[in-house]
Amino acid sequence: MSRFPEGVAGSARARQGACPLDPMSGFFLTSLRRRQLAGVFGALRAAAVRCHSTRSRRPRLLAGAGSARVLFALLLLMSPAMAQDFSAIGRAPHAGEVAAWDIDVRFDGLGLPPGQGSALEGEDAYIRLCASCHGDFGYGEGRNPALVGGSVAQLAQHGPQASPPKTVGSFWPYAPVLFDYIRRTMPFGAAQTLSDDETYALTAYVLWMNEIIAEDAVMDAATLPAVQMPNRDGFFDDNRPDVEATACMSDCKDKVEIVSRVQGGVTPE
Amino acid sequence: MSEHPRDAGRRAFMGATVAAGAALVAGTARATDAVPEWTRVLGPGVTAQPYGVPSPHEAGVVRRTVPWISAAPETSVSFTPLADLHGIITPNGLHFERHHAGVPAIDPAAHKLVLHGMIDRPLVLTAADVMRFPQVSRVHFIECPANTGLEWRGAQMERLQFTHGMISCCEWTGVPLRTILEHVGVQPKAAWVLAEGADGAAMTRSIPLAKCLDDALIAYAQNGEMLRPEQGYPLRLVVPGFEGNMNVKWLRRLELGDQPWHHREESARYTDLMPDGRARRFAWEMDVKSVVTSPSPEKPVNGKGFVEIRGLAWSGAGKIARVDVSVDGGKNWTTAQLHGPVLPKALTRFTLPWQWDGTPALIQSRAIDEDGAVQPTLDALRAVRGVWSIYRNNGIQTWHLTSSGEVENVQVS
Repeated sequence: MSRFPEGVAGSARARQGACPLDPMSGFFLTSLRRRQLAGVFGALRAAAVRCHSTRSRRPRLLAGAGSARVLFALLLLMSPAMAQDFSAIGRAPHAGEVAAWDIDVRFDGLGLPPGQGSALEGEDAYIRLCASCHGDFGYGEGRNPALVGGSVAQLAQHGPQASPPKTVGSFWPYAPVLFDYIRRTMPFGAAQTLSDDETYALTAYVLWMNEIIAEDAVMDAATLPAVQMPNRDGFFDDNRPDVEATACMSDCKDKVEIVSRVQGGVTPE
Repeated sequence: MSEHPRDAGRRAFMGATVAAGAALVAGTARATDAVPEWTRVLGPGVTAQPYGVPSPHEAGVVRRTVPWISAAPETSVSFTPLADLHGIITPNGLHFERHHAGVPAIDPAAHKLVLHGMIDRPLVLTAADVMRFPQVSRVHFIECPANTGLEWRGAQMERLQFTHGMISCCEWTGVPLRTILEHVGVQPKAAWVLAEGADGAAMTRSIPLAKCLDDALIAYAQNGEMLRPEQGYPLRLVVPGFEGNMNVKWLRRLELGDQPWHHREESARYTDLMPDGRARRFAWEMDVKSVVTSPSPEKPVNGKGFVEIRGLAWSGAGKIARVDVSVDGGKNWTTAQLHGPVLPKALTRFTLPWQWDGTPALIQSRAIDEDGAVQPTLDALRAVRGVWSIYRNNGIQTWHLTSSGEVENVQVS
């Protein structure tokens, strides 16, 4: 979307501005809009968001935390809430409490637990726990998600009628996140009942069905992050505004025709 | 010279008045002139409904789902009946739902929120603990980024509830996440927060720390009462203006880290597939958007004459600055009136008075936010993104008002 030509906002779009607190940007607050200068707090907060939501600048956010550190120090100094002592609220976790709840695995494998499993070891569990929804071969039963099918190339080669296949094999960028998702959600309706070894084995089984690893390849905290997913490089960070729009007011087009009508039959009563 | 329609109307009115006067003289009252039964008798007393419910005549104003949209109701979505709502607040029982493993039955006394990771003082909070912190109340919309996602390949759904009903707007009460993060001491390397729900999907999203320090809330109430179970009881995140999925419900854990987690809901889902086969991620902020709620398929026009065109506009970037309305499919536009309060990252009500001459019309609305972003046409979106990106369809909606007064969902050139 483009800037509104008649100046509703009165100034350049904030989204296009540089990150004011970023030491690399070389200036301070110059790109802030007037409404954000109502108070120092407001301006700093707005700057914080801009740094992390400015579409053209997002790669810098992902690259480092330097600006966040500066920002946080400033917020800390200036926050009226800091005048209060909240230490009586809540409690420190007891030994093991965080570990019991900290189930996440990051894209790079951080958080993977001890244990291991291969596709060969996972087959029985897959047939028993997964196949009724995802299908014997991973193609999905009914409207349940397919785990297998398609390819990275097919993500681009699809017409208006054929839905591009977005499966573990064709679309998911990181193998450890498959472990994470199985552990936190599956089996559907009985989440967090699998052992770590079972989860490794099922992860391996799904990767094997997608012909990404061998059937006897053992997945563990070291090998799983090393698995290269086919679509690992298939993502890019937010690049909006990517669509042009203007606010024409009169005689904006010569003729208007209805080009699409509801066919009926799919909307519930 | 033909008679002006207004004069014809006046003559008809005077004729009716004369007739009514004659009837009065003759003493022949119509059945509808009788005092109705409800004016003669006692109604139910106080607390007959300890928790009040809408009139039974409003029984059709309910959330609805699309059975074929998902494998099971526990992993599906329900839609808010926007055409039957007024103002900017969505009643709690009508807020759209999106669940990944159904609604967990949480005992608030047993629920806990754990904060850990790159913080100085890991902390366990009950819902009651969270309520001890200084509270704020803010009105914000929550919109699923898949809202209007069924319309990418052409007009598909017959009613507004299903084209645009994955948005709702409430007053959320809670504690700024910043207050709690400052209390626990965020470490210098922290840049991201992983939020996790206590549902059977333990749903997670990575949220940039700066957003958490800006305007995110841990909410425990909506529209004056405790959260509804389907909205995250007893604790949820509200991440104003960001896509609905990030407003994690049944919040049980917040972990701070130095990188995003790239979990399933921010890679395999909620990413926008482009024609070149690559997918956009981390497109959090909801784009400027609007829709006319009346006339609409649910709100046909009962005869020509005065029609107030009514609708809703919103932007994840801030306040709505202006809304324009077209009745000729986008050839010509008239600026509508915005009705206060116009709040940032909240639904904004607009209206435009209109005299309908009874001929077919193509009704559209186009919102512009305070950053100057203009709601685009669907064709403009498709030219860049193709038809398979699912999410973030903020294109201009067209309603075809036919001469009979019925309204149909169409797309125009």
